[in-house]
Amino acid sequence: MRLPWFITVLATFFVAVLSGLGVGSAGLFVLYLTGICGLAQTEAQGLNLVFFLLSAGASLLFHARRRRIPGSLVLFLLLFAIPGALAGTRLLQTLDAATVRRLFGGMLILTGGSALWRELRAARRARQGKEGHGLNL
Amino acid sequence: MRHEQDNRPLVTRLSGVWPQVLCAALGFGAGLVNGLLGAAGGILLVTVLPWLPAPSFFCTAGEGVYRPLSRYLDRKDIFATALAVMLPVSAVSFLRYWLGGIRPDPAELAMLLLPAALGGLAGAWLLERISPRMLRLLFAGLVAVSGVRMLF
Repeated sequence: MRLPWFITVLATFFVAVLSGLGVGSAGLFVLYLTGICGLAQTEAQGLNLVFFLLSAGASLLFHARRRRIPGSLVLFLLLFAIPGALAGTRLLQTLDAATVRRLFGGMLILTGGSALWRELRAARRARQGKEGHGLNL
Repeated sequence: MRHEQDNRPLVTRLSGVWPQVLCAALGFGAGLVNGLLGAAGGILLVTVLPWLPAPSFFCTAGEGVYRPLSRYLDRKDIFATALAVMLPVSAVSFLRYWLGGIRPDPAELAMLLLPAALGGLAGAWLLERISPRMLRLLFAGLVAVSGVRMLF
């Protein structure tokens, strides 16, 4: 086993809390696995998928009781997201490790940038006395 | 014949099959990113979904009236929707990784089991009680800086 167990347990818990909070875990766990534990990029991505299944599964159990999860919209998105995932994993097999790493870096910049933009926009709206995404039902 | 200028936001002017097409493209894109990078499909959904016109099967506004999904779902609902979509998609991606020879060590997987599940539950519980805006800002900055480091 290559992962230091104590720090991995702590890091996993911390990133899972962020994920459950909606802060996002995209890439953070992969960064830990590649940067600190020295795992290969694709190996870290595989482990991150399992991490997501566990943490998001637990969060979803909680949300499903409290939130409205529109079944028709979820099913419609899934209908196209699953072929997308199959195409993505197929594409991964054709790319070298350095390219995947760069794509991952680009994704982090976009993710971080869009999250910053969303938060700053929400903060500006809150100052103006509006809700971020107001409910209208 | 004189045409009056339509000043409504673009999203409310899309009609016909466009809302469904955009929704399908977003679903495919989120799946593609998840399969390729093992992450980030959910954040793509959370970012773009509120802006999309509500598909006809979802829209309750009436025939010919299109409103963005953010009018029907608040931020937490959109987040829960993204989780519900990305969970099966991640399972499919992981299966493909596994079949492609990327197989995590079972001992390492076992190590993640409890902290990931407990952390996910704790985060969802906290989400109902605190406003994690500052945390989101910190996370966004950290992720963007890490991305720049990975590029070079």
